Amino acid sequence: MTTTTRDTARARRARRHLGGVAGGLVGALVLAACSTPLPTPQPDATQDPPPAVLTEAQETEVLAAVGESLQAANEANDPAQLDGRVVGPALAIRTSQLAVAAARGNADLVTELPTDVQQVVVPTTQTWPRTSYAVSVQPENLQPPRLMALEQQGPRDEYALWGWVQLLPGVTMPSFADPSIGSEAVAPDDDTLLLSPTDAVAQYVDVLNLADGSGFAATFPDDALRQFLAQEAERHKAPLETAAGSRTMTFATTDEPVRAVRTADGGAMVMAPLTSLETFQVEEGGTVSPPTETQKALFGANAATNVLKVGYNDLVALYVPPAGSEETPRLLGYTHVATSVANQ
Amino acid sequence: MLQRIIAALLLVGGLVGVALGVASATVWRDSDTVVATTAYTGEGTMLVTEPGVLDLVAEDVTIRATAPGEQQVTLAIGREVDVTGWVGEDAHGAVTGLTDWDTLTTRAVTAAATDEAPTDGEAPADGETPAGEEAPADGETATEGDAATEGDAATEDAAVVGVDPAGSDMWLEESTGAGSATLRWSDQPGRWQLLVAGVGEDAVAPTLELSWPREVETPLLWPGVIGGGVLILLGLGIGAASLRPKRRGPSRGRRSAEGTTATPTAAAPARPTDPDAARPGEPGGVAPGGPAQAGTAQAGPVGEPSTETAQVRQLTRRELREREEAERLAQVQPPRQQGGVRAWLTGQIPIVPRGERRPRTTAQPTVGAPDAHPTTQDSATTRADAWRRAWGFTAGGPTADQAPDAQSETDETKDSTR
Repeated sequence: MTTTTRDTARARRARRHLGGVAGGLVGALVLAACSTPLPTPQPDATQDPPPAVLTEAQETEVLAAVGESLQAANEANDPAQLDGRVVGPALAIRTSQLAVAAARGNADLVTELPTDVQQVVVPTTQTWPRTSYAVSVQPENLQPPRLMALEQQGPRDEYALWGWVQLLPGVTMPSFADPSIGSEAVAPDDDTLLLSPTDAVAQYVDVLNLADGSGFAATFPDDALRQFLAQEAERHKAPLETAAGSRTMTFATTDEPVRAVRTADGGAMVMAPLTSLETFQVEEGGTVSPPTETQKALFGANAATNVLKVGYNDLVALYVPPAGSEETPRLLGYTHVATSVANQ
Repeated sequence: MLQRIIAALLLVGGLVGVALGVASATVWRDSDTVVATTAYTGEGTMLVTEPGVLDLVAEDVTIRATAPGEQQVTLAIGREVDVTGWVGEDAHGAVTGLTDWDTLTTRAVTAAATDEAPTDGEAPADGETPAGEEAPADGETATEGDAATEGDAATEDAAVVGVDPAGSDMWLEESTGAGSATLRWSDQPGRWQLLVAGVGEDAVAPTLELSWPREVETPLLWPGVIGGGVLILLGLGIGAASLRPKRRGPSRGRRSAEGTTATPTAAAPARPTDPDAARPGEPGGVAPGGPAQAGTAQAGPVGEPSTETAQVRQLTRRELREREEAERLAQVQPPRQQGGVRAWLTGQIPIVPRGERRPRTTAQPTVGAPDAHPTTQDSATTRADAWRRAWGFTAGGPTADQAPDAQSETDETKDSTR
């Protein structure tokens, strides 16, 4: 009797022991089998505001590539070398300059564009096009530094020189966010500014055309471009009067939208391509010859008539202060290059 | 029996545990590098890793992509928006993570539906130009029709050449090679993607291989060793506990032999279970049961396997303990009573020495005798007496009296020992 009960109890105990042992073994095996768990991707959160799309090193490489392209085109006098690295207004101007250089056999008048820069403005635009800006060092010919706009038009395109202006002598550039942070692009119709970029350009063009007669003449302080235009008008006035001639200079905006980027004070730097047409007309029977080397080269062997039309490609860079600012919009730099000369 | 089985199992389990623990840190230790590859056969000529894949295992990753033949391969790392923008609507494979430690998970991203229809239309047109009308087109679809997606990819490749992303200003790192390309990358803050592109006509998506260094942890080493050690100790403990009763077995048997008549019958079968019961001295010590026990003890180990013995053993074990205690008590209180028996039983150890020593002293009676008289006689006279006594020259009164005493003592001891 007692023996059987004890026996069952013992067996039960034994079974428990066995179970424990088996459990321990299984546990050890399971532990051995499942090593470290597979990691899953844990990307950083999307940055807000978005980061700069180029590092300074990348910007330097872009400028170097553009510089190489410009230099190759200069050396070969071949606009095809600009392909992919110079676009838009810059390509039009450069192509014309190279043609002039070829015609003259002298590249002196090809604008020197140093790609060593003293300041870069890196965009934070996450879509395309993206526009970056750079201020070059002073060129060897001691002209003012250039402000260059580099644009990437699509994701599979390279950053290419889109436009440049010569900064006005003694101009004070607005300050921009650090390149590592990046500067926000400003829409052409941005309303946080004293003037929207498009309006600012349109009003400035009006000032250029009408000079002091413009209703916006007071909006913009007098600047080197306006002085230059006034001097030109004055210079041609007397000779033309002798031939009962006239001269007009008309600036116009283009279809190309303006480029604008935020400055550190909340304002914007605006770059816009313009065209201008200078028309000389003298009395019937008289002739007008192109006055400058460039224009002569462009004019070529055409016979002079009593009409001379000189087309220019222009770029202006304006600073537009933020809304409510005490400052006024002002010109930072401009490009004014004759690209066509016609006799009628 | 069960206890011993359990003990054995625990020992084995413990050893296995220790072995597993050690093996996990040696033989099974994970490789110091994780190397994972893709097996993407879907549409498109590009693979794109999703953000977070490049630093999946470690900050530093070595990227290697291979393509069949001399097909050009380009690797490029850029920000998520840039890579996504560059790839655009093109079909490609998205690398989303690890399927296992050797395989990267890929997911096919098909081109926009509007793009596919025209390319399908174009592909036959391209095919037609070399040979004929519809036959070539059919031939193409037939040969490549086995894998529908492959066929589409092929026709698309025929129309769209694998574009080279190399040289874009947006890439932070890039590498290009024929047949293969490698790149190293250390993670930086931000969302980075890797673009792997097969370049050229009839390009296919390359095979991507990512390898990371890994700090291998051996989390099972010490748990295994310690857990195994505990099991071993447990096994040893239980084993010892199961062995202890056996050692008591003989004393129990002795008892039963001495005690009541009922127990001896139980004790007799119990003996066989204890192989140790057949100890040299003890069975002989118990006069009554001795021969029978010796016989059973010898037979026991051979014919034991019956379970009855276990039952009997249990019974006797408890009794044994009680009796053993009682015996101890008895040993403490009346030692002399059993002394005679013990002298017989275990006498070889405790009692024989006495007897032997005394005989030795009797063998040197000259030494023993002088001890009795050292105070009364000079050493010289005692020596002389001893000499005489030893050689039987004299029979002096005092010396004669002493000698018988010494002899009687030695005789007693001699008798008791023998």
